[in-house]
Amino acid sequence: MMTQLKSQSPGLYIVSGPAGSGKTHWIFQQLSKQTGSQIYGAPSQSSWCLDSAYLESQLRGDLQNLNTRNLAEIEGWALKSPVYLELGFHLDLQVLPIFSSCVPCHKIAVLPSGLAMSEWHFWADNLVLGVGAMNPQMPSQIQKSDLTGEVFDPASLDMVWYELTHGAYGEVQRAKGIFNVVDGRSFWFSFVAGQDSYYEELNRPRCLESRPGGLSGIEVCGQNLDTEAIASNLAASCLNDQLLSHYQAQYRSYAANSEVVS
Amino acid sequence: MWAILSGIEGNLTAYEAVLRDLKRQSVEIEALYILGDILGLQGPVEALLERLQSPQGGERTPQICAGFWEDQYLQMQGWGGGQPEAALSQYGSNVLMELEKRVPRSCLDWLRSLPFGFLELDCLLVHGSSVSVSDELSPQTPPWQLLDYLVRVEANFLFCGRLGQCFSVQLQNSQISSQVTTLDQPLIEQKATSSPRQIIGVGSVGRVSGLARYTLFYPTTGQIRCRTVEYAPNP
Amino acid sequence: MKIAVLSCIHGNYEALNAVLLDLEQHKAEKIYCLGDLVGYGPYPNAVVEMIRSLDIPTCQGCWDEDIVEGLNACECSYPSLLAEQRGKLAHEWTHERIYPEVRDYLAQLPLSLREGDLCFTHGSPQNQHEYLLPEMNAFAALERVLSTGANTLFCGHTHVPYVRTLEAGSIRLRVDYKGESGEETVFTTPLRRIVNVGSVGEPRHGRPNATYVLYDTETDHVQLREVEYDYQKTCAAIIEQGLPPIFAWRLARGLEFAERADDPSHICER
Repeated sequence: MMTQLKSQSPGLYIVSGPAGSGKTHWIFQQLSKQTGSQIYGAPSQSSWCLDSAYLESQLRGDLQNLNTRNLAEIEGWALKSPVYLELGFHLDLQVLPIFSSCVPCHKIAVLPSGLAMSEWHFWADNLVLGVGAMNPQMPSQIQKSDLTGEVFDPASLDMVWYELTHGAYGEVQRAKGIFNVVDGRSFWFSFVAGQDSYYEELNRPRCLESRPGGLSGIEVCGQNLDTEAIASNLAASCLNDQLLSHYQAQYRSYAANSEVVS
Repeated sequence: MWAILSGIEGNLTAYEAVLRDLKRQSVEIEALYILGDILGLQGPVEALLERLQSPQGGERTPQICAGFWEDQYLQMQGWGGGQPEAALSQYGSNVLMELEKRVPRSCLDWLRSLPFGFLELDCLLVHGSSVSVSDELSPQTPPWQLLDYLVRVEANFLFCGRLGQCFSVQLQNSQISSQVTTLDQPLIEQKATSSPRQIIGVGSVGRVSGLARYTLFYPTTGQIRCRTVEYAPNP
Repeated sequence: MKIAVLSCIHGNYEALNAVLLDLEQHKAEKIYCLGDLVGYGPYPNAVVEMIRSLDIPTCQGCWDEDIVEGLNACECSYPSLLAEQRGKLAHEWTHERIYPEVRDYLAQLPLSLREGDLCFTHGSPQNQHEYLLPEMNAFAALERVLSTGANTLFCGHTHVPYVRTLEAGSIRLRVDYKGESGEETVFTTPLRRIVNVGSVGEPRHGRPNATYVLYDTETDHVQLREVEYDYQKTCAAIIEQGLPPIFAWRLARGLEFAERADDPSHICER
């Protein structure tokens, strides 16, 4: 059933799958192989989307982030290049928008190994093997917090993330985030229940002056989440203006010194 | 080459004598460190502070850290959360008045901004020790204590000035065996060795009238020279 | 004589009782305590009263000092902003509930105790806040013991127990002084030992059990003890008493996070 998709030709590539199965990762692989325009949209997301921010930072070349409400625009792009639309695991696959039949449309489900028949199997015309094992229970809660402009103390961030992913604030099945830390770097954190957390530095310009402007935030899916505790512990891990400018000045002077040495 | 001074103690004439001696050196002075005790009982401080802050023709701007007298003066002014007990016990009850006479209050902010010391390459430069400005390291200090001060900050050279004398203690072939038993891990056996390390007393510029002592250091070779400069003290 | 050495009880009355029972079963004749009786846990007063009623010689820990003096640890003694915030919460909670006579008792505790060739202290002989970790540079560790003049130094504060033996130490020394080069001398150090007794009430070794140490002064044998107790009772009390639930979560996993500086040997200048 698993097929190797020829994903370089124009058309719509609608990608779905359970939380944490590796949808964004699969799209990243396709887009990075691509030479022409890199076009992506996330219809299930509100005003901000961690996945598209991740892709934007990590792909070479410019990512075209689509306004997914404008179907005509999507179709226009899809006639010229491959267009990737990522659906959140919580979207109802039966009520997706209907695209014109002249646009080639591929439905791809990224599924963890060992997943028995599911709605994705019926919906998709291509199955891709994702990562991890299937969690039998669908998350009942999603908590999203925009943290743009916030800068974390790395040791505190490690502690909250450890607690979050080890059940201190409820049963977490999936968590991902983009976090700025005080040395000016930004990181992608990703966790799927049953697996180790994954961390990756984002290719963003190092911010050592005032607050970083790039999107930062966290998304947590699970059961019985203590959303208040998550929010307050995250807040307690961020630097205030005074501390931030103090440390940034230190990092700037390190940076200046190391330039002299090199 | 670095010039490392300490203990001017308000003695501007002595400091000038050292600066003249530095100009006579054939090797270029790349850095000038003053390890505290700008203040002291040897003279008024105002003109000295002026001189320190305005180097002339080719002189290096000195890098200055806090010393015993700076610390005691700040304590006296209510900064630092204690009392100038060390000065009182070592120099008697008049010492505060004497110091007050010599130090302009306008330099308070400058004094507060002084760092505790410098860590440059593998050298720690401080007035007392890596723990306190009041520690007086000397050739009589137990060697394990000297070694501790160095390994704390992972330095190979420790320059200090509290004693006011030139000296050097070289620690070599240091070794020790250690065994650690924990609840969960098997016995851990370690044999620790330490690279050669050295503690250097840099002398005092101003404490002895007519005789200024300071230290020259070649960071590339590790060579150390104690310089003694004779000068005519102010009457 | 068999002695028991405890530390870092942190208001955990259940754990203290379990340890007292265990050391009685092992026929310990004398008990020493290395401080941190209060902080984080729900029963600071009861713990202090128990220690006092048994007349246990006790030194002052950093938490005991903070409760007496007001929170004065510099921010450098916290590993993170979050730990700092939690530490302050625990401090305020304890501060509001502690009885005046308990505070007076904590105030008069000595920083270290001596008994023959043994020295007892909370952190290190120089500072209640210093962590003597097992991986600390061996020369620095040796200095801590030698500075006390004792053969064995008992400490706590890190919440993970260990025994470290330091032997066959030697330093080759050459002194140049007053223009004269001295002769080379070799300085040797005798066998010394650091015994970290772990934590009764806030363990950090990855299990919720209480830890302490039994020491036989005749045979010189040190035994690291790990004692199970009903930690769920303490966890429930933490929540009931209005302490942050995360304290209970971490206690149940042996993940105490108390302050621990990036540089464990860092000593606050304040």
